[in-house]
Amino acid sequence: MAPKKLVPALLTGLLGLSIAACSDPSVEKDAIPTPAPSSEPGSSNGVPQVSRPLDASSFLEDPCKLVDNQTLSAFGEFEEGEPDVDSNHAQKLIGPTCVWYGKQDVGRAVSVIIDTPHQKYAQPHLRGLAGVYASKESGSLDYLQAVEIDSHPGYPAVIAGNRKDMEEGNRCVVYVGIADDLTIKTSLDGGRDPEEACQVAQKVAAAVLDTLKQAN
Amino acid sequence: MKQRELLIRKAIDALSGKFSDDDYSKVYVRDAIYSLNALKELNMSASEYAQRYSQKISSAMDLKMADDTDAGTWFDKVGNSVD
Repeated sequence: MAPKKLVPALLTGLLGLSIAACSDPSVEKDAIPTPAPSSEPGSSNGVPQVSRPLDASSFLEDPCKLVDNQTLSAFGEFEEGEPDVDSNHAQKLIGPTCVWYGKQDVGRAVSVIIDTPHQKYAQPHLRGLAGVYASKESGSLDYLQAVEIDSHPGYPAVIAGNRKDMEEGNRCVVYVGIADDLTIKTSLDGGRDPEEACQVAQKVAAAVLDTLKQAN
Repeated sequence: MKQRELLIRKAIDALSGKFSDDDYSKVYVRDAIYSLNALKELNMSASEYAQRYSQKISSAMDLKMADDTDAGTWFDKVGNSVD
């Protein structure tokens, strides 16, 4: 992608908000959670590839349908999911989103994001999980761990972020490759600790993949 | 406020996946993340200030109510003594 295209897109997204590795997968030795590392059926420059891409287009208008209430109830009591698909930041920066806020504590929140802006605006070789691996390699992310999502070994996933943010916010973001150029992010903010947050985020990712497979 | 903080975190996450190899974009993304972090800190600081201010008002209201209650009690006594 040409930089000319990226900058306006980012600017637009940020304005909306202001109102208020491509080599070694770099599996971390110490850790937040430690499920088995992702098996990599195929990889390109160290980035695992998706053998059977999933189409998420039918969920772009309501990503809340990707996770059912029964799945969420295992992690606590949550309000109905709040979709954000039309806002400027959802369209240009973050992607179609659904957030389920905790009933007792609004700071405990499960989120699902379909990262279409990155698919649209990133340079082709950086789309999908490749962008996350590249960020780890360049140092803009200091934590990246490949994980295998339960029952879905064909869909590569990583836990990635900055340790400070993960520890301060007791949060964890899982990036799941559903196509070579598209990821879905699942996360828990305000967990008991980062470990719990990562366990929940991975289980939510499994639920998302279950739903997508049924729909495809 | 928590929802706003979450939105800012999501924006930072959105910029965490590398978009481009050119230096101009790298610097732009770095600066954007810096600005978002600054915005998050500012919001948290403003929230703490508002909470403290709210507590002060609440304490002042309680004190005023206690004074009024004491004064009312005193007047009752005076009234009774006159009767």
